Amino acid sequence: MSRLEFLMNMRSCLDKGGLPKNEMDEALRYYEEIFLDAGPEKEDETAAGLGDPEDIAREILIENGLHPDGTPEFQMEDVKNPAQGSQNDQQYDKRYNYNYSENNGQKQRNDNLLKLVLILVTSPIWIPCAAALLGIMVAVAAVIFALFVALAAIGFGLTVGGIAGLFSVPPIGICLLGCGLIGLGLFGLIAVPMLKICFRAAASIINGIVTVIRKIFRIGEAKANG
Amino acid sequence: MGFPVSAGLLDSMVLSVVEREDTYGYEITQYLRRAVDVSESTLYPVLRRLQKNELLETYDKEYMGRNRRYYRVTDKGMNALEDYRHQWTEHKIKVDSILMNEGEKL
Repeated sequence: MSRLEFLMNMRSCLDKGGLPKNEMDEALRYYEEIFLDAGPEKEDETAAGLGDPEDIAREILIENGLHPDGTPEFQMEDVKNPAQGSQNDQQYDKRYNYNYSENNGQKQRNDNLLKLVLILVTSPIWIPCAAALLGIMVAVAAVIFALFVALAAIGFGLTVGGIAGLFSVPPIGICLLGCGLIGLGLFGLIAVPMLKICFRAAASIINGIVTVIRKIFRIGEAKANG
Repeated sequence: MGFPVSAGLLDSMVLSVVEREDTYGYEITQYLRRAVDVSESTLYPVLRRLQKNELLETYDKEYMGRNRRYYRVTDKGMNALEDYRHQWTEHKIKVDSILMNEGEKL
């Protein structure tokens, strides 16, 4: 196997696994330098010594906490890619390349249409599921919110009651005031970080939904592959 | 070599090789091969890990019309290497006490 073949294999495998660009550049650069330093006349030998580029790519993906064989979306791409590869190999001139990429765009649109139909057809199943999930999330948020309000109310009530009590039955007043202040203190300690966490959770849920929709329709992926 | 090399040992050996003089990936492997059976592919994650932990840093130097990536041990790496050497000495004494029956001498 030549240096170029080796690096191309590795690259496509890393790309499929979704390795970030800087990590990919690092890895490819390292292996390219190994070939160059070993000597151009020993490319086959060097490749044999290094092992299977796909295995190496898999190890790198695992090191980076990624799933080596990609998500199902990427596997679907596997089926599409061979056709693209062979057409590229035949070194089409610019005219044909242009046609080819336009066809590809057409196909992508058809794919999206098909997916849209599928989503609509299966809507009786997933709409109730999504609604139930949304309901649960809203309920959880409401409970958390209610707890906060209750904590604040108790703290505030006891504090006010305690101050009032100070003038009638001082010991009980002081006791109530102390409990009230503890309640308010707890509210202050817990409320701010909890609110932050809630906001962050909401943001990441929305992000997740957007990512899923993007993945289904592959928005922006054509650009990344080109 | 009948004895497998652990990740920690490999890390420390790589640090030691680079400490001698700044060097590049291919040469590090060649040097390590005097002692252990490793390939460049085994070494890549090691180098990357050492870099991420800031024990090694890299810089580019021109060589034959291209840039070659050189590795250099950081201050943090020097400390880690000292630590590794200390641990290795202790480890060696303990293993020798059993393997070479040097227990009496301790």
